[in-house]
Order: sequence, then C-alpha cells, then structure tokens
Amino acid sequence: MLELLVNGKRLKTRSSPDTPLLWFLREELGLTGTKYSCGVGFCGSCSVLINGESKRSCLLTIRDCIGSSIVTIEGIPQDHPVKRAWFEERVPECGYCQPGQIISAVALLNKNPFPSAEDINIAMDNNLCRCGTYNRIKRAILRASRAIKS
Amino acid sequence: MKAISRRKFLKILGGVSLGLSFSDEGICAVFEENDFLNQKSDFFSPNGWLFICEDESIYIFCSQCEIGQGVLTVLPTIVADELEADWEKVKVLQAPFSEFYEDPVWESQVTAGSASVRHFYMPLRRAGAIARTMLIKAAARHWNCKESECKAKKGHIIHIPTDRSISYGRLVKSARRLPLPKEIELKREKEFRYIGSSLPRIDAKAKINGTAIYGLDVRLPYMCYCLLMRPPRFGARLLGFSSKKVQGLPRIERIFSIGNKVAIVGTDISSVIRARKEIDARWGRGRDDSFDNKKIGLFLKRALNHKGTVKTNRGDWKAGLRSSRVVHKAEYFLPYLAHAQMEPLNCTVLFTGKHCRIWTSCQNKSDIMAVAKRVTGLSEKDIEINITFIGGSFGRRFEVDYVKEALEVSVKARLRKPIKLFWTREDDFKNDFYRPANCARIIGGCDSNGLIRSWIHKVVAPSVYERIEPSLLKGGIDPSAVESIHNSSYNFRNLFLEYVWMKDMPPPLGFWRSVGNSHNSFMVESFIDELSFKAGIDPLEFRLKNLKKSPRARGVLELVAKKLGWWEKPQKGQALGISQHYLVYTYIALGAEVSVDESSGKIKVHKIVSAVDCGRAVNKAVVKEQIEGGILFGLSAALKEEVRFSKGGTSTKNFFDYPILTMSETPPVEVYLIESGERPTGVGEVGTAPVAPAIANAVFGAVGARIRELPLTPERVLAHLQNKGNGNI
Repeated sequence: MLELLVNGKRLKTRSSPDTPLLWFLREELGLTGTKYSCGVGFCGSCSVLINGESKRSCLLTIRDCIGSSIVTIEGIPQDHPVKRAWFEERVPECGYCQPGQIISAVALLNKNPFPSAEDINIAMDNNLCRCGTYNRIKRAILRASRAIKS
Repeated sequence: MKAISRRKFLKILGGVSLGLSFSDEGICAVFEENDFLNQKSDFFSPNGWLFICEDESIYIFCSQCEIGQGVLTVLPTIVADELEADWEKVKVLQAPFSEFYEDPVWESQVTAGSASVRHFYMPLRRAGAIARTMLIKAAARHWNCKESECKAKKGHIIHIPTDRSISYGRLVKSARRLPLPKEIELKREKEFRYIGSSLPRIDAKAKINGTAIYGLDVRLPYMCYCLLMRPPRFGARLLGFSSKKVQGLPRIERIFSIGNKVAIVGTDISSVIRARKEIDARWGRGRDDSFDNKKIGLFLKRALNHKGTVKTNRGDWKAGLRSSRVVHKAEYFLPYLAHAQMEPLNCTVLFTGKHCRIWTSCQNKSDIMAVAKRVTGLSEKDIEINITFIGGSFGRRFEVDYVKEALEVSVKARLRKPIKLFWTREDDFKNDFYRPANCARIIGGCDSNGLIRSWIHKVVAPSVYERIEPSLLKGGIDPSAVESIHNSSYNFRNLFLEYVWMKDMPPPLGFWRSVGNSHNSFMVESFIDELSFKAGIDPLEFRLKNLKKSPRARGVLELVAKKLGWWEKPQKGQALGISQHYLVYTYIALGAEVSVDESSGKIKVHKIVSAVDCGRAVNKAVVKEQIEGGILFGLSAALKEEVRFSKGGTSTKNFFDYPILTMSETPPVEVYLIESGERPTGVGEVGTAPVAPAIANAVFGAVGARIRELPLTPERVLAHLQNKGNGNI
C-alpha cells in the first residue's frame, strides 16, 4: 500500500509503484483534467504541481511522489486569481492544453508573484498550445499577478 | 401544423439517451436526456432548435461540434437573439445525430470548412423568430389585445400601452397550443441584443476547471483500453506477429489482428502500452520503401516540366506577357505538414451485438454513422453517437479512421464491454492525413504602371480529393490544389492555370486548416511582391492597383497598412511584409514586422497586424480569437513545420522533432474587423493562409533574401544569406 497526498487529501493505493502518475490520476482517481498529449514530457499538457512546482506527470511514477504534495487542476480553487484571470481574458479555445498551462502559471506566480514578460516566456515556453492562445495566456498571467498584488 | 409535441420532440432526439449539457456554471454533466425531459413539467418547442420550460429555463441545441472554435456559444447566440431570450437563462445542449440538424448547404452532419455560422445564420434566426412570434401571439390572447401592441423583451412579452409584462415560462402552456406562424418578421440589425457583442464562451469555465470531458476522458464501467500496431511503412501488409513475450501478462485481455494492424486490448492503460512494445510483428514491402524527403523534392520539381491539365485559360495571356514591360518567373516549394492537434485521436465503443454506442471527439457525425452501420451491420436506430469536447482538429477530425478502428476492434473482440481505442502521440504523427507537399512555377508580367498583364501558373501536387471525394476531381483537377488562384481578388484578366497531378506519392492526404489556400496564398502573394519589386513599385501600391474591382480586398489592405504604419520608416534592422487573401467568402489582409539575425539566420517576428472583412460578426471576441489562432497556426508552419519521411514511412515521431510555435516565439497579434453589414462568412481557416507570404516578404525587405521554400528555418535563411553574397538570389 502506497500513501499519496493528492489535492490535500491523503489516499492509499494498491497500484504498482511504477505506474505513471498521469495514468494513476486519470484512470484510477478519475482526475481527467490532467491531459495526455505527448507522453515524453515535451508539451506540458499533463503538468501537475509537485510541492508547488510544475512537473510533467507523464514522466513521474507514483513512487516518485511518495511524501510529496500533488495538486492537479481540480485542486486549484475555482476562485483562484489565475483561474479567474483565465476566464476574464477568455483564454481557452479547444481548451485541451489549458489545465497544464494554468498549473505552470500557478507555479510561476507562487515563486515569482510579479513576473516580467520575459519571466513568463521562460516559465511557459514548454507548455504547447496549438490553438494559438499564447498572447491571452500572457495577459491572464499579468492580470492574475495584478490581482495578487492588490 | 401545430407546435411540436412532446412526443415528436423526443422523436427528433431519436434513440438518444445520453447528452452533454453545457451550462453557464461550467458544469459538464452527462445525464439521461429522456429522463431529463420528463422531469421538466412542460415545455414549448416550435422546432428542434429550442425548448422553453415553465421554470423560465431555455434550452438551445447546437448542431455543430465544439472543436475550440466557439460554436457552442455562437450558434445558440443567434437563436437566443431572435427569440429575445435572456442569455442568463439559456442552457446549451449538443444536438444528437438526426437529419434535422444537417448542414442545410452540405446536407451532412459535419462541422468543417469554416461554414457553421455562414450556413446556419439564417435558419437559426428563423427558428428563434418563430418562437418569439408565437409567444407574442400567446400573450396577445392572454391580454385579449392586438399582437401589434406587444413586443418581446429579454424573456418577457410586454404590452406596450399598459407596460404590463408576462414571462416566457408563463406562456408555455398557451404557446404550445398555437399553430406555427405563416409569416415571421426577423429583427432589424439595430435591434440585436447579443449578435455583434462579445458574450463569454459557455465552455470557458469547464475548460478552465478541468471538468470539460474530451474523448480521451470518457470513463465507463468495465472499460477496456486498446492500442493498435500499425504498418511502419505506407502500404505495408502485416505478414504475421508473435505475442509470446506478452503471454501471461496481467490485464491483457485480447491480442488479434485486424486487417494490417495488430490490436492489443487490456483492462489497464499502462499495461496495454507496455504490451505493445513487446509484440513482434513482421511487415511486407510498402508502396515505396526508399521514399524520403529528398525524393519528394526531386519528384515534384521534376514534374514542373510536365504538361498539366488546364484549369483556366482566360484572355490572351501570351500577348499579355509579350506586351509586359516587366516579366518575372519563380518557383516555390512547400513540405508535407501534420495537424498535431493537442488531443491524440481516440474513440470509445460499447458494442453488444444488438446495439452500438460511440463516444468520440470527432467533427463528422455523418461519416461516423456511415462507418458504424457498415462495420456493425446495425441500423441507424441502434447506433448512438455522443460527441464530446474536441481537443483540436485543424482538419484531422474530419476523418473517422480511428472511429472505424474502434468499431472493428469492438466487433471482433466480442467483449461486451466498452473499449477505448486511443492513439499515442507517435501514432498520431506517423498515421496522419498530411497537408500535401507541393510546388508551383509562376510566370507573370505587368505594364509600367504595375497592372498585371499576364499570369501563368502551374501547380504540382498530389491530390487530396483522390481519396476523400474522387467525384470532385473534375477532369483530373483537384479543386483544393488550384483554389484561390482562378478566383483570386486580383481577378487576373489573362490567366493560364494548370495542375500536374502527382500520383503515387505514398503519404495519405487530408484537409489541413485552409487546405489549398495554405500553399497557394504563399505562392501568389510572394510572387506579387517579387513582381512589384522588379517593377520598382511599392508592394502595397502594386496590390491596390490590381485590386480595383475588389473594394473589400482593398478595404482590408488599406486598414492593415494604416495600423501597421506602412508609410513610416521601420526601426533599424526591421522590415514590413504584407499580403492579402480571399477564402471562405472572407477578405483578409495581413502585415508582419520582422527582423533577421544575420549570424544565426533566426527570424524574429515583432508584430502581426491583420484586418478581416467577414460580414456580420456574431461574437466579435470569438471571431478575433479565431483569426489570431489561425494566424499563429500559419506562423508555426511558416517558421518551423515539416514532416520527415524515411524508408517509405514517416520518421517524425513527436513534438521534439516536429516543433510547433511556442510562447517566446509568439508576436503580439492585432486583429481589426471591418463592419460591412454583409451576411457572416467563414472565419476559422482565414488567418492561416496569408501568414507565410507576409513573413517571407518581410524577410526579403529586411535582408534582401527571397526565400521560396518553407519552413523559414534558421538554416534555410542562413543558406540564402550566403547565396545572396554570391549574387544568386
């Protein structure tokens, strides 16, 4: 039995410790907000917060996460400044990459609440979007940053 | 005819028992549709587009699939506006499979070709107006007054002389007893409440909260997972396979072949992924086992000297060329491209022998139904199609190959459990229906004023329609290969346009955002720039001169020039490039501000400005988002994308060797809409076509290198800069 901490809840699982975190979250816990897209840690669609940092869940096993805090898109409160900014800036189109984008944005603002445009580029450059929402993502992060400030 | 009865309404819904509801709270609930309707005490529904309940809630059906283009918000907006509904009370339902919801122009249940708003705008306005007219009549009877004394306002009918009002919900019982009106009056445009505004998208919150359900997210009791092994080379046959290494692995239920593929079905996703790696399959020869990128260039460029089939032979282009003061000739070459949509393909099927239920993120309901009938042998009433949210398509999900695979696996596996067939990213790149590689030779001439006298254009490309719709290959001409040349806004008076059909190219082809426009815009707009340069005329002025007969094309160009600061001197090292294009009945012009690092060959795009005349914009923000998205999709292809082939198959594997645009490479994009008051035209594909030529034209302006091949990678730019030094442009 492994014990994991997901979205603030302690839970036990009989899954093999080698199970990729992505499939564990999606298939076993039903947290399908975390998306599969490239499977090799390149696109960022499967990003989750591990102890506050944005990590690719397709590259982690559940063994890697024992003792860590795992937060998925479902664990970010609906009134979180980042989620609100995402709505106000009308970010999503197809929406498939957005949970990963939001996770990376939350991680960035946790570490650096007032990022410059360049800071945002660096932090977000490994989260791919095919619909072309990057400019609105940038604006949403700046908006969330202003909301945190005030 | 009476207003639709409850029974008839349920009949429109057919055998459908599941639906997705998208409410404005962002909840995406799966519910039993019929039960849901039964719970509603009573409702008024004059047609299959809407029903109004006594509790004031209004449900509007969306016939089209939500691929990210915002259709789930935009189409119901049209109904709601004519109905004078209160948008806050509107809930949207994804329409089930039914002839009723066919695209009225294409007579098919498909979401494609930037057509949703332009084909459904009038039918949906009428649907809303019919309901409004009946509600007014019901209110007039209620008050025993004339209908002309009543008007609809935001979910109520108002009696104008007395200012009394009654809500739609309270009129349900009486409105449903009325006959359908013989005449309806549509709103005047200035009366629009929602059309022309920028309502928030109803799917936004679900997508932000992670609760939106895409095809890959469908979870059903006892569900199994399936991966296929597919041929490594185009056209290779499966000779045999051994699953010895997999035998005894837990959670693997079945391994069997289907045609030239091997199916692995198991109860756990990671076990299926692991098992696929352990299967030894033997494959026969492919269509051309030495096919690679070198061959593509060789074949296509050689074919430029072949005689083509004539598409257009207009005016005296020979005399036009002879009398031209400036004559120019150029050849262009573009690569195969992949769709690379973020959600890999997938389809879930529950087949019991008597009934078949399908859940998938696909935009082509009609083809799903056709293939389901063929594979299962069932009739339409026993097949249920559930369309989920769709994680991008760009043309890929017009195809139903993955649906067919899931159906074949389910029929053969005989598990009586739902099976989710999914593709990995590698499967996706290797088995795409690609945008074809193609090349063109253009010879053109103009007089000393810059008026084009002759345009001679040869397109060499494999045919997209050969597989998709061979009946449209009129006289051996693929309509997409030549589109937007003969009907360009330039209206070439003397035009010779021919097409050389490259047969026997192995990669399968499909529609890719903007289809033939994605290449022909690059060729035409690059050549226009080259000709203007040779004639010593400013490229904007040159275009405007040749667009005399197209005021809307001039309109967008002039607006872009103004917003871009075309006549101002750009910053040192930067240059502007411009282009215009006409597609899906929409006019677009685009300008780019670019600089080139001459030591690395890297292009930096500082800004993109575009102007669009797409008639009435139902939701302005959605239109701008679609244009911007289309532009960045085109920019990604222009700068970075090319599918690699080797040994007769695709060697491109994943995003690491098919890089797409990232945030740091994304310039600010400005989109301006021209309010022409015309009927709405297409939007989704519009931004993509004119990007590449504007960038290439700007690169020429910046460093004097004219690049006629894409993508504009640093290596290619550098090679051209070095050649330029040798006087070889």
